[in-house]
Amino acid sequence: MLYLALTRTRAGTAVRAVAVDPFAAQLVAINVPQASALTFALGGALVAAAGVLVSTFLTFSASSGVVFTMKALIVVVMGGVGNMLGCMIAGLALGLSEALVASYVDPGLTLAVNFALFLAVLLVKPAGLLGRATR
Amino acid sequence: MTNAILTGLMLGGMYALIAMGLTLQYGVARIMNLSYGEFLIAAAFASHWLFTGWAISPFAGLVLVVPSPSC
Repeated sequence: MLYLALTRTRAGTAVRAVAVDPFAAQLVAINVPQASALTFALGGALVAAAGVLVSTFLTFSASSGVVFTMKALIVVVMGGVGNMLGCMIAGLALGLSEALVASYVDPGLTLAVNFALFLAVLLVKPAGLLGRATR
Repeated sequence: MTNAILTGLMLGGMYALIAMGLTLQYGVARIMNLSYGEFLIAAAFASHWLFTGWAISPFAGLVLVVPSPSC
């Protein structure tokens, strides 16, 4: 649904244009600060939804936010920054590899295998799985 | 084997959902939000308090909790 909103509506196309090149987006009369603020709020709404869903099955404490930030950062960079499809593929690959290693090798190695997969992907494709090296 | 694969798919879906929010924030708004995990835990705590204090189910509490980071 978010994918449809981002690709079919006018506001969604403006958000994607700012993601590709903020300076050029200004030239075609897209209000860049407003689009950035809207996207930041949208990202915050997504994480709130994720937090509610996580609370239904995971035990959490006040200091367990750091691990989530770390894993989210790994997924974002591995999938290519700003690319929704790459982020989804990277997240699924990381989750699958983590569960397989946890059940067949050693439950203590989950974070290690996450970082190992991240390192392997970055060595082969430095811009992330579906990223463009535009910077 | 299928147990591990199903758990992995669920875990991967969760990671993808969490990372999608950070992709939007960092890829478009160019803001590196290092306190992203704290937003997640705050939302989880809010949902827990709604549930234990007022007996609002988490899925109904979604309506209240989701717009809160935008203020």
